[in-house]
Amino acid sequence: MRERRLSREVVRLPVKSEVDDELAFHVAMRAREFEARGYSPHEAEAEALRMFRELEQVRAECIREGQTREREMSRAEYLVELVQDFRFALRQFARARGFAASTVLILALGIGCVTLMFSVANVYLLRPLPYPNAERLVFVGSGAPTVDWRTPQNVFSEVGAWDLDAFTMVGSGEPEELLGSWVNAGFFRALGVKPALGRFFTDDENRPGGPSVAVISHAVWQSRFAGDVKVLGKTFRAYASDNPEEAELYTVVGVLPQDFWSFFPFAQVFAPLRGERTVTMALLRPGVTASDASRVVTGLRRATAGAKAAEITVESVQARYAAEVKPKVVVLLGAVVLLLLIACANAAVLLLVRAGAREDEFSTRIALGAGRGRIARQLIVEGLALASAAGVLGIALAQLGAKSLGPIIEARLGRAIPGGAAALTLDWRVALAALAATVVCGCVFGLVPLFARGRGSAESVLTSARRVTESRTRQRLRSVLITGEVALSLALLTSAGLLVRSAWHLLRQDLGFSSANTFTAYINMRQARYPTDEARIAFYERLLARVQSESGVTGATLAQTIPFGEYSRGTETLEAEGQLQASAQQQAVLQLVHDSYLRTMNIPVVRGRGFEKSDRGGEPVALVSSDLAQRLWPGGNPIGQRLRTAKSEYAEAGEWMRVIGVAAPVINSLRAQDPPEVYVSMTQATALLTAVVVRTRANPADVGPAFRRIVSELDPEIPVTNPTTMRALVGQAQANSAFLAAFLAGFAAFALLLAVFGLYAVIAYNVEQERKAIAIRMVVGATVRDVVRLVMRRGVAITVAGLAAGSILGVLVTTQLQRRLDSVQGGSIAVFALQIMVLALAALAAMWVPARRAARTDPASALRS
Amino acid sequence: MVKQKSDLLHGTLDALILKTLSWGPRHGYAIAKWLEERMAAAVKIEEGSLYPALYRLERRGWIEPEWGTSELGRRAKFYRITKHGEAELRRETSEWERFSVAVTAVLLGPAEAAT
Repeated sequence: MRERRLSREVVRLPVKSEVDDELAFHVAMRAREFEARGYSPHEAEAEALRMFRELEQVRAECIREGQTREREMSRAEYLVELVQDFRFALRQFARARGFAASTVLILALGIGCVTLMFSVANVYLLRPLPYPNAERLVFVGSGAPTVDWRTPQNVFSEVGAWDLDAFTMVGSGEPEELLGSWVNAGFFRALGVKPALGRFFTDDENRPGGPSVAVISHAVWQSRFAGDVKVLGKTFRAYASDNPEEAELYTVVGVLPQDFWSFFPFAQVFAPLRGERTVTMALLRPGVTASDASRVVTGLRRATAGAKAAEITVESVQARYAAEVKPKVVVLLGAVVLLLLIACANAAVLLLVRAGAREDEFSTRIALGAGRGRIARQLIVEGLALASAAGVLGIALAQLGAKSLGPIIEARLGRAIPGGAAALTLDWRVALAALAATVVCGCVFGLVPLFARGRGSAESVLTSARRVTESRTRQRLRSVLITGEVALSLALLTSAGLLVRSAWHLLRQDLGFSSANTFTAYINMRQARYPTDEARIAFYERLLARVQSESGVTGATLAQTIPFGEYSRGTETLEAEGQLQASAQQQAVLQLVHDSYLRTMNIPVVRGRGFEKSDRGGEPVALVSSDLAQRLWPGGNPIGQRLRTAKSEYAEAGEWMRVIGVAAPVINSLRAQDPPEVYVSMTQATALLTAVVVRTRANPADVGPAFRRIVSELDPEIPVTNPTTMRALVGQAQANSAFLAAFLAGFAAFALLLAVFGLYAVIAYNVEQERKAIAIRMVVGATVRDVVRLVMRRGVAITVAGLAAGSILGVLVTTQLQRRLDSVQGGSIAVFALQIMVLALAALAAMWVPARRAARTDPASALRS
Repeated sequence: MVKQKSDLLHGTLDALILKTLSWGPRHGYAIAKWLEERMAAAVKIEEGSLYPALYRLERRGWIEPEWGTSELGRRAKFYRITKHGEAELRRETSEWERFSVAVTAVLLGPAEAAT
């Protein structure tokens, strides 16, 4: 097959002359025939031509056929050759398994990371939320009047309102607290979901004194009603915090579908709102934009509340839901794209090194008649084969990653994946991204060999004149690639360093309290059973006394909220008495605590005193954290000063409280701005939902069952929720803040490894290529040190260039990260210098190994080979 | 009438060329001469249709060209039947056989029926 094609390529004439020759021959033969019959030569030829009748037409037809054949032929040949190239590539890889495997693996990791991160970005940012009209679903900012906006203004076709609540199911067995919501009838209509069983609410049910009906989630239907298909019309007894006077009997009227996904977790039970509530969510009318709607409702508000009333924001539910997640996802996506580029550069370097090693093979093929284009195509096919193998493997890795890392990523990002964890899968957008990543890799491979075809020629083999040095283009290209790799690695290292430093700072800070050996849980008392402060305080004391009598317990206390707890109280504006300057008002968290709180939590009182029994019934007192004291009374003595919650849009000013002590500051969360705190005794204001903190000598997790028993003995209708240890709460928050840093650190480590590997491969290859040159130098007297210096010179130049470019990139990345992530602090020159040092040292090590090997070359054997 | 005859032949010209080549490679002129001798009494094979037919057959891969030296001492294009061509020839021969049997049966049928 090959031989025949070869000979035809050599012998075959252009179609036109072939046809002309053939026809001329025929005419000549025919003429000879006529001459034999006695025609004159001239007549004979004329007669022979006449037999063709329309010679031109025949000729044209032959040429057309011939040319069509050639075209078809070359197309078929191209395909055949492509298959040959592909088979040849596979044989090549089989022969160089290490090269093929490392290239595919490096690329697959790059593509896999990009695909995984893109599927995360896809599920949060690109894919519509799982509601029929997700793109028209909006949140309406506060300040919206409680009117029906549907008809007159024409901007919303449905409006939704809700009130989040906890429903404590009582009756059979232990009380169970379910997260639920009071919703208006428009809520489900706006979402556009359909019930699995029964119905949702009617507008008529949203009125004061409306019926006690409920819609339950699929999970509650399964757990509380055992999936009974005749659940409609059945009842359950529950306390709701909004109506805590007594337990109500709710009739189940509907069950939500199993795949219903709610953007807030209060979705286990729904009951109809009993009256008007501020509109929170709405479905835009088709064709109305969010900004149109905002303008209309703001206008509406200003018409009644005056022209200075604040704007009412209208914002896509999707955008708002993902707003907090977005910067992190963008940073991660950016990091993996950098990683993919590094991986590509690395694999390209390997490919180039290999192309250099195959110079002889190419020369031989050229000598045997292969065109230069054919060689280039061969290299492209090899690159594409590698890239597609890596693409397939990468997608498989991404799928695996989505399964194993998906839940972690979801937990750390702090937002449930819209549609549930199963939604993190390969859809067309992800597939497209993976394909794009693969094509990028394939193109890099396609282009690299084109640039670096080298000067492989027939002569070089025929004269067996091996060049001592190789193609400058290829050398330069390799250097550029490695330089880029070093630069990108440094950029990734810089950003990882920045985040790790911020995370480290967060993790290392003194929390201000001791989280060791503490158990914590929430209890929720019923207003009906504990209507007065006295009743509640009496229960607190009974509970704490019982808990403290347990063996191993060294302390027990109560607080409305605890640091890192499930429920947090927003900040309040506090004002100091008699202060007129700007510092007089400060934001702080008002902590309602039991008198024993500071002691049990090991929060030191640095000035004044803690709460005492004698404070009860007297003048309201408070402790402030030292940072708040510093802000409210800079340089002054806070003890004996008075402060109160300032008057706000929603509430009147609070009572004046006298400061009796200053407590050490406490970290309440790892957010960027952690507010200071004011402690108020629970003897002044009680709470129904409170956290319990128990300090024990034993394993704090073991306190749970005993605690539940004690509570149910004291009052069987009080649910115990969120039992955990302080350690676990803090650990969770730390893991969440360190998540981004940990991921980036992993990426950076991988990038560093790749860069070092690439550098090593190039230097080692150079040494291999220049064995003879090195040997000659050694013969004429070069020392080991000279050789090492010679070999490392180029590597050092590459590294320095890479580090210089990487420093610039690093500065750009740093500013980007600071702009996007509020937890990131400024970069430190020292850390940056350290990163450069690490990279430089790693690079030196990568060069040192092959340089030493070169220096140990035996000149005699090198020159003879 | 003549036109109809030539159309009928046009379909079978391919088969005739393949048959000619089944005895060995020949150039276009030799094919024409061979067919002329065999078919002279029945039909005239025109040069005008022979050469396009050769190019068509070559394109289909039924015959393939090779260069040789002719009786005139000139370089001439010889055609050789390929494996595909031989298969095609067998197919067309059996098709022709069925066709001619059917046509014969129709054309001569009434006479046979009368006997």
